[in-house]
Amino acid sequence: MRTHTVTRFALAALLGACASSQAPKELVDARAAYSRASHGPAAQVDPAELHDAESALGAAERAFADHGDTPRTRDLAYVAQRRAELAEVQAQGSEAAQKTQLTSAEMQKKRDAELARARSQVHQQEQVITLEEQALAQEQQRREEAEKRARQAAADLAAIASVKQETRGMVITLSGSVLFASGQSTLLPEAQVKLGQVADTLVKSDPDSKIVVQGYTDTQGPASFNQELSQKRAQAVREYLVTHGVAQDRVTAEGLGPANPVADNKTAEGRANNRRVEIVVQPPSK
Amino acid sequence: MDRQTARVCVVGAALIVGCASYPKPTDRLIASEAALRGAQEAGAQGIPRASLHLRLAQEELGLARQLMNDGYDERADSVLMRAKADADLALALARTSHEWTEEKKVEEKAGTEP
Repeated sequence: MRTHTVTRFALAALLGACASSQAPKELVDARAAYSRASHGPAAQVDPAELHDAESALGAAERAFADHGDTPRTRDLAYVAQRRAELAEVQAQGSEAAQKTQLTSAEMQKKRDAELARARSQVHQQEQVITLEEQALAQEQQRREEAEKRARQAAADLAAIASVKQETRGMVITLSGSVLFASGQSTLLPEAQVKLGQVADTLVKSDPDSKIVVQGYTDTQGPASFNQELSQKRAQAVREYLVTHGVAQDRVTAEGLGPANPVADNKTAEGRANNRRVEIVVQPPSK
Repeated sequence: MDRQTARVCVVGAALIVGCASYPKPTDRLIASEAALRGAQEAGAQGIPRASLHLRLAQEELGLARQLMNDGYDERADSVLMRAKADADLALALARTSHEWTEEKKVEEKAGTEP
């Protein structure tokens, strides 16, 4: 359509030229400017402005055809050239604006995607933190319950035996004369009742704690005999505890003979105190 | 044809046409002045190609006013058409220049963003 228009104007110009004179420079420039604009982006981007330019060129062509190269024809051609240039420039501006808009939209899209990614990461991290907090709370609760059980166990034991808290753990001391007959390693019947209570308490204590049963004697008699006797007595207590519910892998037994006396071996009372079985409940290693 | 020659032609033609009865092109004068102000407000004077057309428009307006004062209203009317066309083009050039600047800025920004 635009090409036809240009051709039409060119023909009119030729006829005009034949009728009167050669087209003025303004009109030649206007035709070139319009031709350039109509072949550029203006046809798609700014057709209204291009139409105005076409109308302006038409007016100039008519003036030239009717009156020849007059000042009025030149003015109209001058205006037509400017209108064509304006259509071209405005189309370029619109194209630039469209590009800007597209680039901005793409940037925004990228930013939105980045934001969504970051939010997702934060959400995942929050979930991890929540799970960690829950695990921590459960661990805390487990420890508190274990400590409570340990306190309760200590209180229960205190009623039936000597209980002391030492750096190696809770130490339950049972007199040897209560547990065994002199020189023997078989538990006495009344001792079994007492040990039964100890076993009940140990079963309720922290299952992660380890238990060491240590047998001791006084210094009377041969050392090898005392050593063997203390080992057998510790073993007897261990077996009793295991048969009464304390996990086998928690308990070990060792005989220490006259070592680590708690009283003077020169007196009868002191020796009686040294003949003992100690049950050491070691707190779980952290 | 340079601008000086064009001016001589315009004035010459005006003298030939003479001062036949023709309505004062007041409306076109107002429209041209408004177009000129629009181009100035858009910053046309700071953009080389726009600045040229702004100056042409100013000169044509000055010439048209002089022609109107001298009674050559028809010729003044034509010159005012030129003035408005130049002012409109100066405005379009200024706006397009801003669009290009903006486009360049956004493209640079897009290039630096990760």
